[in-house]
Amino acid sequence: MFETWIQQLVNSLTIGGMYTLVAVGFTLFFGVLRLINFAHGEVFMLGGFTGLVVAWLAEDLGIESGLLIIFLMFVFSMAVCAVIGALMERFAYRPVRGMPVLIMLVTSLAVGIVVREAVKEFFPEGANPHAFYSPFKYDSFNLGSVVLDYTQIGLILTSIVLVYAVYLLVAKTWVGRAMRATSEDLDAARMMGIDVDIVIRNTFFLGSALGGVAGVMNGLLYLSIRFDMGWVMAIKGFTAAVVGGLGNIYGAMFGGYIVAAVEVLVVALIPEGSRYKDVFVFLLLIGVLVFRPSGLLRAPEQKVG
Amino acid sequence: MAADQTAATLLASEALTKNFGGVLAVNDLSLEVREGEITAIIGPNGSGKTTFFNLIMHLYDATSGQILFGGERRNLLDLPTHKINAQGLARTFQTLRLFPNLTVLENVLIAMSSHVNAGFLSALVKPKSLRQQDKDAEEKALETLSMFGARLISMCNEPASSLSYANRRRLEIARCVASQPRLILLDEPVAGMNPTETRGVIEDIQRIHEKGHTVLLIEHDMKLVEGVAHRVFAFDHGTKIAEGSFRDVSTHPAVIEAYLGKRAARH
Repeated sequence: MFETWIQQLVNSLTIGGMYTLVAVGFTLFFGVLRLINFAHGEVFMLGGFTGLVVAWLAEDLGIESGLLIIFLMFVFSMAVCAVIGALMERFAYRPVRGMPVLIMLVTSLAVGIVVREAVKEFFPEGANPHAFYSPFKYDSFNLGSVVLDYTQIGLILTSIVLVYAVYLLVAKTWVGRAMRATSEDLDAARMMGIDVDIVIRNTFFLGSALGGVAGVMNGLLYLSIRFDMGWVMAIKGFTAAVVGGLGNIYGAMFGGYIVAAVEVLVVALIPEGSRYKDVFVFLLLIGVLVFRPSGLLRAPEQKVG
Repeated sequence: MAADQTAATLLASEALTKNFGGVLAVNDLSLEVREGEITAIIGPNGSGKTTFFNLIMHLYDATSGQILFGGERRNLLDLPTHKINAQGLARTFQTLRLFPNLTVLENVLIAMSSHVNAGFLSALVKPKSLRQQDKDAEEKALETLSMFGARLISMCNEPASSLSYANRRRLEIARCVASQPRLILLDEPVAGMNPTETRGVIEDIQRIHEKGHTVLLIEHDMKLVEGVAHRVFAFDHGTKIAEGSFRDVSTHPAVIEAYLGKRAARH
């Protein structure tokens, strides 16, 4: 029994880290642009495909170290996704900046469709699932009577380190401070001498890079990626962001772990629960939106003055 | 208080007009703010005072005219909003616009952004020069906050939303001063304050002025205007209807008419 619970805890920390990385993007974009960027799920998907391409290239180049390949997958998918996110912002979201929320939302759905269909059409065998490269997928070690999976432990540590790095960036640096100020009052930030175009671009760099990392993690964990896997992740990342209070960066950091805990508990406690876990995530989303729309933490809605 | 006639012009509005879909919020406005003075703008609600401030910060595009700043007479309307602070202008707002979830100290640091050049990558790796810059900025910010004694300093790591109303107003002023601007724009600095607090703000404005900042303020509180302003502009319907010392302007028939109607002006 004890072993099962430890295993469930490890499971929820693993996928929770992934959701958190996606949720931070949602909450950052919403903060600076009041945009719910549903194309962010596709950025996650592109992160996975970038990782796959890196693994293929590494094989061609004869790189054998699994750890090095995983490292390269993370680095390249961060870079590729950061650039793609910034391009989305520049060419899709900037023209509609300041327009009604619905127009921005529909724009993000359209961008998402374009990206998803492009991968389906133009990636080799894009419509089919692709086996992902995961060198340590069957390696585990025993801690007492608990069996721990190397990949999972690695992913937990990676996501914690990244989330902590984001926390430091947001809380302690000029760049992060400018992001928070822009989130709270864009015009006031401009009058303080902040170039909000640069802040918004930085925000898309950061959020999209984290989405790309999550895409690679997803592949390493589930061993398979598909062109249409972004949508479900978008809903889950969005749920995590809403649970933490949309726009509240610190909230998103724990929102992902809450969503993951709900999923894992449903699987563990309800017979045949794994078939219904997404239903419960959606219920959580609806519940929070109805009863605590500003998130389980107090969201930054209170205005001074 | 006698105005210094020899002082240079710091800010000049020339034939400035702002048309909001048929409403002339600012209408052919020309005026000059002199360096080293405290200048006040008075006028009824809707007379274009705040619109004028928003045009100075280039939040709106002007329909016509220009706003020239400094000895080099740079047209502020050619600059994007975020570059205006670096020219040497900072403002407060009629309705407070602090960043409520940033700490008191961070609110001041944000206002110093023009003086810090920190890119995305350098923020990630934090080179030594940037760390030094951070430290210097923080020291300067604390020094600025100290102009209000312990009132703001003691709260410097609390979110701005936890401050009392009067202290929030003080923080807005501190935030203004932090970027060392040549011209400070104050939009109704004592709105919602009681007489004691108003007296405090009068002293604050005089202290800012003594430090060498030129001040342009919008105010309805005539006690404050009388107490601090070297020169007064009266606005009505988006244009300047009178200018001079407080006494001249407050007794000017056009001003009395604007505030109280035609009948009162005849007496």
